[in-house]
Amino acid sequence: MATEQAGPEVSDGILTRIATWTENLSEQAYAYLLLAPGFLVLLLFAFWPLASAVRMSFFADVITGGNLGEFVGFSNYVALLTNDNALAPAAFVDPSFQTPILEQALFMTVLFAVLSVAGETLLGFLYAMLMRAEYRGRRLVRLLIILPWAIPIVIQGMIFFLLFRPGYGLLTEPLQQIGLFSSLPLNTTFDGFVIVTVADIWKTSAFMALLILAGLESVNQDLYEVADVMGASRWQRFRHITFPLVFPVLMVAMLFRTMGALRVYGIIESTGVGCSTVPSMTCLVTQMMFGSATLYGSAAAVSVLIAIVVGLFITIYLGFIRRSNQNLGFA
Amino acid sequence: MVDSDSTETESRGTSISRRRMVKAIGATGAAGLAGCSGGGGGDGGDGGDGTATPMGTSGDDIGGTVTVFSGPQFVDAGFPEVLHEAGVPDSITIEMTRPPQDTGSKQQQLRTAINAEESDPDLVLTDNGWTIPFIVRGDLVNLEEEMDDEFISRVREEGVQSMINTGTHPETGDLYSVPVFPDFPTITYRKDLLREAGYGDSDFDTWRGDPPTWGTFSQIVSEAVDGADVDYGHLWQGNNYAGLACCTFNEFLTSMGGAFFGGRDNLFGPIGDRPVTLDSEKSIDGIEAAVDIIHGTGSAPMDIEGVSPVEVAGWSEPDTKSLFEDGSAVTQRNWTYSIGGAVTAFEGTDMELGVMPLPRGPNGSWHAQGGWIMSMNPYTDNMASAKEVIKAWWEDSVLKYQFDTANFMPPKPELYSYVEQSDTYGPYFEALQYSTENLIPRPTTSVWPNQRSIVAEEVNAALRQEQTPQEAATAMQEQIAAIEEQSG
Repeated sequence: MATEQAGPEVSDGILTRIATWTENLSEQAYAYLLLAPGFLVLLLFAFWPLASAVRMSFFADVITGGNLGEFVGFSNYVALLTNDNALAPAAFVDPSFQTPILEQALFMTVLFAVLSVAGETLLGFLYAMLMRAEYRGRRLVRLLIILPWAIPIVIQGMIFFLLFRPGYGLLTEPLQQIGLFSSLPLNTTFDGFVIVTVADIWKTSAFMALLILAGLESVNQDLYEVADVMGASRWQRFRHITFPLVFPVLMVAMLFRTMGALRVYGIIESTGVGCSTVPSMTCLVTQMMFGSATLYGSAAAVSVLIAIVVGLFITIYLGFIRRSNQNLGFA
Repeated sequence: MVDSDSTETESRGTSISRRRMVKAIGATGAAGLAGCSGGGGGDGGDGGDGTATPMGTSGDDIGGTVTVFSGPQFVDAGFPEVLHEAGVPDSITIEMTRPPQDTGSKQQQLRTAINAEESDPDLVLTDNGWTIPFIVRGDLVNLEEEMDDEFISRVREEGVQSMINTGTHPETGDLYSVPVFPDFPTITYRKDLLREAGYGDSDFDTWRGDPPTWGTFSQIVSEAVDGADVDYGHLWQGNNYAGLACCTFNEFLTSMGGAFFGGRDNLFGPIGDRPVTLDSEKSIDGIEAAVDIIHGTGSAPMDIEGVSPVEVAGWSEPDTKSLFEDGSAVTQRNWTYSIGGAVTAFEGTDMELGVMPLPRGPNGSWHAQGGWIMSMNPYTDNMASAKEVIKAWWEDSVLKYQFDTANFMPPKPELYSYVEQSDTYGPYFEALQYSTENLIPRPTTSVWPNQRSIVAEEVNAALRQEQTPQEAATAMQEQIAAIEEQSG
């Protein structure tokens, strides 16, 4: 029989009194109490800057100083959406000056997010299967798959810059000769977009693979044994067991990556492609805020629009996740 | 030793109550906090960063520390000692700091410091390309008001005029910044390859003070490439970046007779009240000349052969410098520092270096003006001492030392004779002098950052033949006129 040993005498200090006070709290109140510090940090470091950005977006740009101008309501948004702000960065894709830069950046960003997340998901799934299978040299394969994820973005950018730099990049001439790229891939919007997307897929597929692998590992092996008894093919096992059970994890992974892809900036700059060749929404914010005449109001308006776009994508994903959980009987 | 009782308890699924656990944590926490409270050995009980705080002085006292946001070449190079010898009182400590080397990052860091009303740095070396927006915003000290008239007159009389203009308020004409060193481009070339093509010392001597036209120059390079084992003809910087707008395109534009805003008089404003002339015939000639030296399309009024590789539309200074130094090209357009680089690289090889000014167009030979000027933080808490440093920095002894240690050209034409005696730069002095006498500033105003990105974007697209020079000119004209109209 186990006897409970008396613990050390605790002085009746303030923390002990707090602990006693929590004894009388309901479960729900106690949960909120534990969450309070996190919420406080979130308020300070996330909601407050967001609220400041929203507020800033309603004030005029003052190009001759670091101050905000007068209150202008939705004028910054209207000017951006109607291409009425001559101080906004120049149009990149369409030099005819007809397409609003915001439209171009939004198109470019969403296209990048869709392509890169799709590529990362497919490649990540393949990687995950490869990491899960039993064979000689599996450890080395796992290491090689995870390695790009460990490389800092600046080094990654340098690798792709050296591959595609004009004149003496490793792949510049071969790809030009077979007609895939121009001689100046880092300066050409289409080529630059492809380079940035491939660079992003190369790096973050490993992250997707790790999340998917975690999902795969959690699938009950008994289900596969039952499928074997019933004579299911490999494809049927994947379609009816693996994919549906990994789907919720996959959606969460895609949600994370989509949020990251919609904020793309670092990879564009570090590869040497640059914001003026491949504009993204975040590029617009940085160019307005720092690269031009301190267009704080317009930059804030763009950042609010980014937040809205990201919010829309999150809502769509959460809908998918909820539905897949219902199908699996989790909710 | 394993506690069998505890494992047994766990296996039965019994858990410790949350409240008991919290109590225990509370007790541990109390002990932990008690342990922390008496702790020492941190990184400064005052919450500081460990750096020594200088003795503060009021703005009117001579003494304390003057912090100079300078550059890596000025750190640990003996500048404080030289400045003291040139007249800065010993009671003043001069601290050279190492800002970001990238001009854009330095500009941003300075803007952040001023917006935060930081008292440090007291003095800043600002790029002549972005000082005027700071001046117009009132973000720098008006030296005309703060320093004695005799010193201001000396600077105006002795300094390189076009550099003084980049530190002068465009409307009031007051001096806000003092030139530290000018920078300008030249053409470095391989004499050995040109000799093989039939040119000789008499040609080299002539070009130093009388550069060939763009047409003749391209022909010379073409001949040299034909008979030599080199990959490239003429290298320059045509990438889509600030340097294309301010400098390389500006050189083509001005030499062909074109202008951003009708001429030199309107370079610094008034915004919205000056003509935009980027779609004029002569301005289009400037774009055509730049395109022709790559593609040789024959559209420019001069017969310019295509002697630059298409890759120049993706290259900036470091690319062309390294290619020229390893012997891959006949000629290169680059800043003065590249001369020193080539001298070092060619040592002990068969390669022979020559330097000439940039080729001429119908409007002459023009060189983009770069360089840095000394400005004062309006929130400095040590203005009197900072003024002493500015005064001393204008002394010949300091400027000579600056040239000796960092190869930065003096901002006074009267000191060019000193450059002439230098082992590295002396042999090329005549070409350097010609360049300094034919400088073209960029049109620095508060809206130039926006305008330069448009110029770079459109001209680069023309260099890559994604659009015609006419289309590039029209696009620039429309967009820059819209900026002028909105900001005027």
